[in-house]
Amino acid sequence: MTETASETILQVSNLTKIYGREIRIGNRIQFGQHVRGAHEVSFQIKRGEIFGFLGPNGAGKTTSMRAILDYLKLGKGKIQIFGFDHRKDRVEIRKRIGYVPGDMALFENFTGEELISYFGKFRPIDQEFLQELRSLFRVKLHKKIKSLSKGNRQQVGLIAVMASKPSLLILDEPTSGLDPLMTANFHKILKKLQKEGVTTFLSSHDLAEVQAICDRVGIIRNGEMILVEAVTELKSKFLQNMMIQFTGENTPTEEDFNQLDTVISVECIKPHTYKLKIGKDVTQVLKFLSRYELKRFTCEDADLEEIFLQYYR
Amino acid sequence: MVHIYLKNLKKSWLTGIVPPVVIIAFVGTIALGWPSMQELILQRLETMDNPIMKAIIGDLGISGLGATWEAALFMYAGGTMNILLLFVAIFIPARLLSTEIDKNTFDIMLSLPIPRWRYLLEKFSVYLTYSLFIPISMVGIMLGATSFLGESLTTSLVLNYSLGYFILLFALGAISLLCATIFLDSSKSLAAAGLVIGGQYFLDSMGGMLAAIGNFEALSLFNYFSLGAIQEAGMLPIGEIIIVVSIGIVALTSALLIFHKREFAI
Repeated sequence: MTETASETILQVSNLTKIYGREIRIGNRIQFGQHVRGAHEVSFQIKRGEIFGFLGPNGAGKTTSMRAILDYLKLGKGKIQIFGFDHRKDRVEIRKRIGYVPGDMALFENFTGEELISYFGKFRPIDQEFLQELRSLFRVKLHKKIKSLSKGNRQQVGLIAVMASKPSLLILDEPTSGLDPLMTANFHKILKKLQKEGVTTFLSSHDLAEVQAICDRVGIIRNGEMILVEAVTELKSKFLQNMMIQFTGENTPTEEDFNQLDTVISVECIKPHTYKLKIGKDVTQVLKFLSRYELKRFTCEDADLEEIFLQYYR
Repeated sequence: MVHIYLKNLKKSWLTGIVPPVVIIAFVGTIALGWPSMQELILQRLETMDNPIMKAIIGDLGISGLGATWEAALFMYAGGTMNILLLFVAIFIPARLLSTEIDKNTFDIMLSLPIPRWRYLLEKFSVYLTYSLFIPISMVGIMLGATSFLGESLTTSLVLNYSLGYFILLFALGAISLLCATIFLDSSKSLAAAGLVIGGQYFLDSMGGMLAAIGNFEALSLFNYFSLGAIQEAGMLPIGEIIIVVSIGIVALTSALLIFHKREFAI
């Protein structure tokens, strides 16, 4: 199967995987305290994209990833990778993917070189790229893995997985344990691979990392995909911070602001002065404010981290 | 290529050589103390030929052999071999998967482009390879010690017994592996394999003494390929081979199928 630039590499449709007892309210599944999983998760990733997969702990990230890798059976839904069925064509798919699990454990009695060579027996190594990885990561590959620190082990694992230049990288918090310099080098590698058409599906809690390298993000919460959006779009489309100072003669209350649909939060920081977080509908707030006399007014895009945190809560 | 097999063969060599070393050391010790041991056996021959002793040392059908070197070998070494069979078949295959799971290397292994059934089969083949060393070392040390002492030993009996032993290692190992694929977790797999295989050992050992469980003796794989049956048939009884190998193949196929299809919520 040939790959074209606009080709969908990963297509996840209605991925549903429930552990334990589910609580159904109408057509919706409510995830109780002891129920984890993913419900009707759908998204797709195109060739050459770096897709960030975000969500708080227990939101369903790992469940979704493990289902994509066919470690878990789907309750419902369909997953296609490179156009192949993720379950029927498991081996064919694995020839083209590189997976780095969270808290990657390696064979402790191997040296880094042995591990790379061992993985190379399953997927041919791109020697030129391996040299590049060696120079960027600078980990001592002749040492036994058991004698390496957590961060160095992670580097060995990343080199071993990426040396074959897989067409799709599935990375579960790949930079945990890496120092800032190695993290930056790793980002450089991902960007370089992206130019060569490699697709990356990245789960991370590091919002700065996601902002720096991802093209699009998907946010999952309580097992449901609540947002899939381009990173550049997020800032303009979603959250804005407003600071409003009234003259004092006729000032609205916090309750008045809360009645506006677009207002996410309101805080009275001093008399007659409010700090607002608002959604994308600015017009509603402006219409509301036109009834009052303002002394000062500022509006700016929220930091991307604030936007993510809004969805995390 | 069989990369999983070769990697695990290298990794497990220490575990693999322990049972053959135990056999060699045990038979070697008997050989060193043989002349004085023969006198003791003569004195206790009558005592040993009863159901309780058979339950303890295993029903090896040695009564017809008298106080000979051959009888002593099968009585002492054979009893040890049965206990070894019990432990090897329970502990090694039942932990083939859980060792990878406990070390967190399981996820990365599953992401490699090989069919799951092949991954498991290659791992089980490592167990079979090292299992092969047990009967081979047994034949070697038995024949070597016999030649050293200038005693006599029916070679065909030793060879058939060793072959039967290997077939039992395969069948019981496959049952243990089946437990591993069902439970994955180390302690649960060991408990299940221990219950199934240990239960069979119990049936075989106690079946001769307790009439209540005597009827179920045939359910135990330890009951097959006894020295008495081999002596009588002059070879491994074909019917027994078919039964034991079939059980092994069914257990192994089930393990491979379950492993290939199951999910890993770990």
